[in-house]
Amino acid sequence: MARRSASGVWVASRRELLALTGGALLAGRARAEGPAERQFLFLFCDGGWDPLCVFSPVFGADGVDMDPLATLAQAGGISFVDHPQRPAVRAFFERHADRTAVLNGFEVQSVAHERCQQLLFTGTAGAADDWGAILAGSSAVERLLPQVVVSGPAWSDQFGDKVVRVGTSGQLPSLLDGSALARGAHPITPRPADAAARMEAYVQARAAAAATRARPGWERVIHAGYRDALARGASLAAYGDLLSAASPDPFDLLGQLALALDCLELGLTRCASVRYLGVWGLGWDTHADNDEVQTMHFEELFGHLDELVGELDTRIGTDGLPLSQSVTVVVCSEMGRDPKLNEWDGRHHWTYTSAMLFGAGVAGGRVVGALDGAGRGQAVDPARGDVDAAGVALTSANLGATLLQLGGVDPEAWLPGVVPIDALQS
Amino acid sequence: MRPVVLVAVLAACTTEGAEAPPAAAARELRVPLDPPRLARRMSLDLRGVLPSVAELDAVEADPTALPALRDAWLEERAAEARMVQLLGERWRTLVDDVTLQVGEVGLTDADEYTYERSVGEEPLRVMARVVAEDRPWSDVVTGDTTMANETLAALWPIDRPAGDGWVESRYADGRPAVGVLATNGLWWRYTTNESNANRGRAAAISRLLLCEDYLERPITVRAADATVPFEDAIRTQPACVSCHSSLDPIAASLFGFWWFEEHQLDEMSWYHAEREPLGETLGVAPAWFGTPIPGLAGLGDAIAADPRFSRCAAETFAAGLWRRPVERADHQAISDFTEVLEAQDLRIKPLLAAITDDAEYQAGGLVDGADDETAARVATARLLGADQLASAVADLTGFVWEDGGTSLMHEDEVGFRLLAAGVDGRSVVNPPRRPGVTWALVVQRLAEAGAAYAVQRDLVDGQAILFTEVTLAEVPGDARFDAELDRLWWRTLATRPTEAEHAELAALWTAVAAAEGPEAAWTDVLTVLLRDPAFVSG
Repeated sequence: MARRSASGVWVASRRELLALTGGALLAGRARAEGPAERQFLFLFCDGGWDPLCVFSPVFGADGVDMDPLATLAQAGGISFVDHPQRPAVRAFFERHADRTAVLNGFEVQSVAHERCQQLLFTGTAGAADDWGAILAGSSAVERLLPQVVVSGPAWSDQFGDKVVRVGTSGQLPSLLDGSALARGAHPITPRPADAAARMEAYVQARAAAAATRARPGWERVIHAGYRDALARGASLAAYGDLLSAASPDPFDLLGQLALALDCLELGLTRCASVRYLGVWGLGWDTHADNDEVQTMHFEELFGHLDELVGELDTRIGTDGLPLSQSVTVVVCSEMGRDPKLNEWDGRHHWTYTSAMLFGAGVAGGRVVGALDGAGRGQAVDPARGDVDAAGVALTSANLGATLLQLGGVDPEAWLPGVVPIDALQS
Repeated sequence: MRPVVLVAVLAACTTEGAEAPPAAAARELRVPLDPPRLARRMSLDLRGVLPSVAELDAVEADPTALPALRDAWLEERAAEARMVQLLGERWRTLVDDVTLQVGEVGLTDADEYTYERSVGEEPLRVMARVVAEDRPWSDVVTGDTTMANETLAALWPIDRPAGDGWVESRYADGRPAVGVLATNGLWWRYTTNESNANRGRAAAISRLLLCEDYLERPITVRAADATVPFEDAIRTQPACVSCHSSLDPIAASLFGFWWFEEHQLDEMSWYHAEREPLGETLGVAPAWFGTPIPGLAGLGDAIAADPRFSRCAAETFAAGLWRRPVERADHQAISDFTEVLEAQDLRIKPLLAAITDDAEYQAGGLVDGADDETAARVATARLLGADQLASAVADLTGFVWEDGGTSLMHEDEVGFRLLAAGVDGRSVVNPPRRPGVTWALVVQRLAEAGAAYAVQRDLVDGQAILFTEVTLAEVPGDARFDAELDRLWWRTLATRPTEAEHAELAALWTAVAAAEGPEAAWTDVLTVLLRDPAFVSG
């Protein structure tokens, strides 16, 4: 197993992690019994990417301004927008189209960033768990970090206790090893192990008793949740070194991915999420100089995705198989961009966007959905994936239903009436 | 008003053959907290600190003393600080990123936290002062003053009287008297750009002051004629007009806060009255839902006169004190609270009293057989979030977790706010309600640090603020030791320890003292109390 540092070197190995954690920690409940449970890695491109740069070729339409240097290309059944300044995009599809699916023309039903993010990941504007939280909360395997948020947004409601934020500057490991106590004007050293253990036993007994006594409703939710959180925290302490060694730089996508992969590989996590802010952290919100900036971002992103695929093939999960057979990768952004360029050669917000999936359970070499000549999403037959005027007008909820189904969760329980896109699934 | 205690005897009066009363609807399903625990909840919610031992004693002896205590707490300075945090959850201005970065205003990285919170707190301080002075809530949109500290006074065109910290002040650039709507802090959080043209700000006004969120309306461009240019579409395409017909006239009133350049302090700090006519570029005149207004100067009065404004205030404070979002089932309760508010000249203190007097707030459990919907909705227990943990521990132990001027419990880049069930105003906008592993870890470390600080202060340095009964000489069995242990329990948890609980905690003290001495023993005893399930919930 390897980890990519901020300097660009994959530095650690699974063997090293086993040594760090004592190996035995991988045993027991973190190790899935029987068939592997599908895991998920969400890579969120913050700001609203432009599907017309890569995913949605709409050439020759008056209603859509395409980059004049862009051309239509195909690789392994996937049509995409090729560009001389985006060779990494072409290379990715040439190498990995057979395991990749593209979903085009689904609508997020807003044009405001924060709301679009919520709609993308939850399908609703109200209080809700995002797809990762639902999948983590529905896991058949007890995990210490059910949904690990390395960076980026996360929404939770019923499964808030399953969502674990690492922090942007090593906060979680500093809490685990007690180095957080050294900060500030009144630093103290952590209590000796025996004293800490004595306190822990006392508090855990109190929490267990409170959970037993608690009446139905929120009293029980909170006390049982505290009891469980204490137990997880105690178990997680053994991973302090691992998490500390991988403290991610928020602008270092590879470093963030490495931590996410570590957690997936060790079975600590069912879902991991990272945010990609683009080259130099510029973000994807290109109201000006759209093609230039999006090209930079896509080129770097797809280069990193290529490395990610290699890591997924190399790393072995707790079921003894490569992560590429258990992890579904979802690459997405909260909105698309206006098909017409504005006066600053930028593009305003647009409700239709795209997502790309690869890895476990994904029907490779497939494009589902398309934009029409005005940049609007076209209805599709969700079973076959073809554009079909009598089909379904896709929204982010359809993507969510698909992911839940991929994860073995009944979408109907969370998104009543929303059709999963079977065509995306192998 | 709704009766606090509903009549459960109706069912017993039902006679065979008679029409059954709506028993399920009328039956009171909520069981109130014990008075001391209720006092603790109120104290934490309204002023962010635990009740004193004397206050707990008073409520235990006479539960009817609680309303008077509550009213007194609302007069405390701590209540104003608590309102800042409570309102901050909804107004989302306590963010770690400000458009104009700290270096761009001539400050250093060491000033970053103070700078960002100063900007973000400005509108919240204006509102909290209205609450503290028991002025009509309409003052938040019609007042002619702002609140400023030394940081803001040095950066912005503000006349600030002498004084430490936050002082009621006035902008000196002739901006209209529209309360929070005239604060830089609000519009530095809710920025805009050429394409947005203040519409996002208008949507923020609607969400914050009317509790009507344009962004919750699903939109689609599927039905629109895609060949129509963007600026024309919002005036001609039905799918667009449904929002923009009311949104754009509000946006048109906000161009005094229009900046030609985002990264210049003067440009962003001064009100630009000469730019107000730029609202015409939207093709509409300033108006409030169909009623013309004379620009920003008329916006506050229009909002205050809107019946949704008072209802939204009731909803805002109810949600804040219930520690959960308002739901459809709360409609009648919000209506009742709105009545109270309107009957009391829009003063918030009577509203806070009404909310905290209500069965929904006071619920500590449910009767057997309560339905699932009620169990899911009624917050019979609440998690202490980052701010309440920080302020309660600071008040109790004197320990404030700061590093380089940054309050670690109120910040996310280097601190623990999000990990401790806080709200960052960006990706987490509702207080998390369930205990998570990071929250438990923050509680642990905060408790350890707070306990160590208090023991050093009280038992080593001799200040005797929290530990008032003992010295390091007493041991279990000594009357002063046992009294101190019970008093600490009472103060931190608002329950009386049973004999078994007392013995168990004394045993912990004894074990630690045998190994490391009484100082460590008291530290560990206080630590476990601060981590107790009864401490971390309310």
